[in-house]
Amino acid sequence: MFDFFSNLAVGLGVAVTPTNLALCFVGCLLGTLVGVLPGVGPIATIAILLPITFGLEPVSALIMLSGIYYGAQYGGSTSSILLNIPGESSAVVTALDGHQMARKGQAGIALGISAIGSFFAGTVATVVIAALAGPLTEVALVFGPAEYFSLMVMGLSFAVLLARGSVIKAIAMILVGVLLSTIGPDLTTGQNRMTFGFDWLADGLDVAVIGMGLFGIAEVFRNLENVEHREVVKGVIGRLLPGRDELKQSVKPILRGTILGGILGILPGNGAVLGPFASYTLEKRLARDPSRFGRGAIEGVAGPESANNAGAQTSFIPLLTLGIPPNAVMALMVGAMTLHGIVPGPQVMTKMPDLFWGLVASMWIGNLMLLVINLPLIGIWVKLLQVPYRLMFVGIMIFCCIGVYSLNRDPADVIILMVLALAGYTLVKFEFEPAPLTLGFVLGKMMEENLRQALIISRGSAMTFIERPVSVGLLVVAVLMLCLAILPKIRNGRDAVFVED
Amino acid sequence: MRGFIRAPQNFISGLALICLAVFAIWAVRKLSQGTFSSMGPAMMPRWVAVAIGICGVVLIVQSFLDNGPPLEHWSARGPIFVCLGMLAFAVGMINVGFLLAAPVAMVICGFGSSEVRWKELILLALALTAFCVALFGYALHQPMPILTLPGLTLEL
Amino acid sequence: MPNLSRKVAVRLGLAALSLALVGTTSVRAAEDVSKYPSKRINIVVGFAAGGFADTLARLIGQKLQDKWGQTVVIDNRAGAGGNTAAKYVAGVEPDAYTILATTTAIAINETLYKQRDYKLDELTAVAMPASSAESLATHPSKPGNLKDFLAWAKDREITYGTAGVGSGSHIAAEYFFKVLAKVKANHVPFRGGALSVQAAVGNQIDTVASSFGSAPQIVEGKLAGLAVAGTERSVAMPKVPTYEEGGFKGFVAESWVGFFLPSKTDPKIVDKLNGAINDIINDPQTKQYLTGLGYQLKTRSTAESEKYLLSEVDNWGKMVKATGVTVE
Repeated sequence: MFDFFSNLAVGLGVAVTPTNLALCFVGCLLGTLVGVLPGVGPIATIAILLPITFGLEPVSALIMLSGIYYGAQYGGSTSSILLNIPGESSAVVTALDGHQMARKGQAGIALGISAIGSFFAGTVATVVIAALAGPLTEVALVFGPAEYFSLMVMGLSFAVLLARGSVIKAIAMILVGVLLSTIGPDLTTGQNRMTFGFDWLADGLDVAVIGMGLFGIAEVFRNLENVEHREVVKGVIGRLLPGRDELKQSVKPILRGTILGGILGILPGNGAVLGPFASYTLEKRLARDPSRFGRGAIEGVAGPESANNAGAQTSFIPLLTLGIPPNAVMALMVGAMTLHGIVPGPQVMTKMPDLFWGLVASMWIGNLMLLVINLPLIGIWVKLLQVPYRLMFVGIMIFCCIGVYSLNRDPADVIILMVLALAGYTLVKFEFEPAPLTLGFVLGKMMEENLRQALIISRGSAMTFIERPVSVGLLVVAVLMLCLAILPKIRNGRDAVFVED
Repeated sequence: MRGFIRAPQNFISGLALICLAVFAIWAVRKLSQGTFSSMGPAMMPRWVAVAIGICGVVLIVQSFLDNGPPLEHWSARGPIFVCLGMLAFAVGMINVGFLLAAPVAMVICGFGSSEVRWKELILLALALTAFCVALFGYALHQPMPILTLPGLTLEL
Repeated sequence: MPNLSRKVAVRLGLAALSLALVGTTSVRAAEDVSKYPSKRINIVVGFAAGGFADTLARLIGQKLQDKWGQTVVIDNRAGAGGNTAAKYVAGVEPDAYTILATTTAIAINETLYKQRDYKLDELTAVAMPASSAESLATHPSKPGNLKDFLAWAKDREITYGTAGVGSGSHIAAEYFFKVLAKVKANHVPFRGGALSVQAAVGNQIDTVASSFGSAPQIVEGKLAGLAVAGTERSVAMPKVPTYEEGGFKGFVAESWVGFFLPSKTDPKIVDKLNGAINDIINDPQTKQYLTGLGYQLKTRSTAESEKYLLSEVDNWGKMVKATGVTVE
């Protein structure tokens, strides 16, 4: 325990120098501003802003970079709440209820609660990292391909609960998402699948394009349909910050989101993407009136945002203790570390305690900065909604186009965006929901890859998923989830029929 | 009063899913499925497609049994102009560069709204183009062709 | 109010447009070597941000920027095992303002891919400054030296993880197990080297093949290094013997990062860039820092670089053919 406090003290000592505080602030601010641009997620933001950290002390550079990372993550939520243009999978969840809140004139509250939730989750996760990074690493190591496969199956079973309407349509959407994720080269043989010889399909689809097409532009199509429909957005702006009631409503979702996201974040191989989805499902499940979800339920913003931030934070654990980056963002952080002459790995903690604990402490400070930066910014963001829609949608279109173009510098991606937008519009018309599709897409790829790895390792025996305790546990949860999702629907479905008769 | 099909929306949805499934199965027809210990590239897409087809069948069957919502009203103006705008952007980026592609795309797109106003739209297009060049080109150093007309080329 | 903001917007717009016009007009003509570089340079990286090639490209790019005073931008164009970026650079204006940074993949793909949209002779090698030998590592609970490990592996089907199908690690390990050691080993591809190292540390796979991704874990004892495929031991993990020491004579497989230009580029500019990169590598501070990270450094002239590239195409081609791995 003494170690824990003295370590944190060392860390705070490093992080709270005027220079480092300033850099942390600048990093968070830049990250937020760049991250708000659709399609420019944390990875792109860090890559773009990386050069400005050259020439700084390694600790300062890393502090600034993690500031950029949190800022970009938060910026992404901002644009999905305000304009429904999620550029990554976690923002998709935020968009579900966050944008509905914005339509009701509660954009400020949604933005505020997501900043507060993120701050709380970040604080808890920082303490967890400081206290338990070592032992938690062992948990991550238990997860092999078989466990990941089961985890993904569990995640997909969440998706059924995520949907508002018909269960069969939700399942169909998940499957379509999985199918879309198989486009591109096969992991084990490198053969191209369903690319029809097109170069621009050769590396599969990007989740940013899916998010912007199925949600962002498809939403534009819907809003252009009739004037009354969107006037709602312009109506009352309402309070800018969450009040006592909203905070009270959000306390528990924030707590639960933090725990869920924190646990999933430790898992390498991007387990963190599950966090927001899992939290959303949980909140919907626990809500007294689940039908509020998807129509602007504050719990649907508070929980997932906390889960996302907690996961973003705890995903530093495998990086710091094992030197293994668990996802693309962390891989970039490793690259940045090496550029600053630090060999990432287990030795960082022991050989460079200043750096290690300084970074941990700066994570917390970064979250505080986000709160400080974003609460005043909310007013400005909300003003953005007052731009007349006849101009706003033109801006949304061009920013999405540029965002998608800048992914690979390939105009063909803009065409994919167009096709997906039309598909998204069609889906809405047939009462299919794009959210389960996105989750299916995100998890589908990992699910297939882990399935194949697990089967190679077990030499073709599917028993491996049942023989391994963690794996079988996850599968049981998945089955329970599915039952929970389907049983009441069947009952309700019958009721609905009776009513109509 | 809907005749045989009591949920036209679900009926068409089901048909579409079946078509998608058939298409996917056709698309991976040449790929091998492999065995369990070394799965081939086709195993996952093929079986997922079969499952999608089953969902489609279920939806169709349901559409004969239960009452469901009718087909919704579609609006063509917004999607058409916005899509044309995106097309113009994509084609323009290949042939003439951002400085021409972006404003043209925005002006086309703007007609997707029935409340379009000429002057305002053109001003917006020019202002946003300049803003984006400054932001993405200068501030963020994103490589993109600014202007690539024959005889006149601008690069950053 | 709307009027005012409109005016401001128009003015800002015009100002930015004129800035764009003045600041960026360029003349497409054979440029004087002494004037190179006179504008922004793009380094096109064949792989995603954060990888081996990306990190080195960013480092060199930054140093070039310091040296020449021109902005250097990193442009990640990942795809098709580096072929997307190679194809792109092979087709650009040969003015040396677009530089390709890629890895051994460019040599391997010559044999591995049945189909490519560029020819290797459309590119010219500028420099291959940094390399790292392929290595094999295992969980500490398993036999920790090559001989014992192979004996242990003889009577079972082992698994080995790599950064992906067709990666240098895959080819080298497959060649080693199948052709040299004659041990039955199943390939478990991962998406990126980090996850394969993770699986080995967690004892999910029997062994992991990687270039230098596993060095920190080996140094820390989380993994046991079996062998490195270099001509000499690696600076980053000096305790791990070479394959040659383990009785596999002549088995050398190194992963490197190289810089390329379109082959029509003025040879003088190629030389200038080569010299600049060599200067960067020879700078004592950079040198110490890169070797500290586990890279082996080597400076070559342009002619030597080209020769090395061809010998690498040969060496990897031989291994690819012997293992029978192909990618469409």
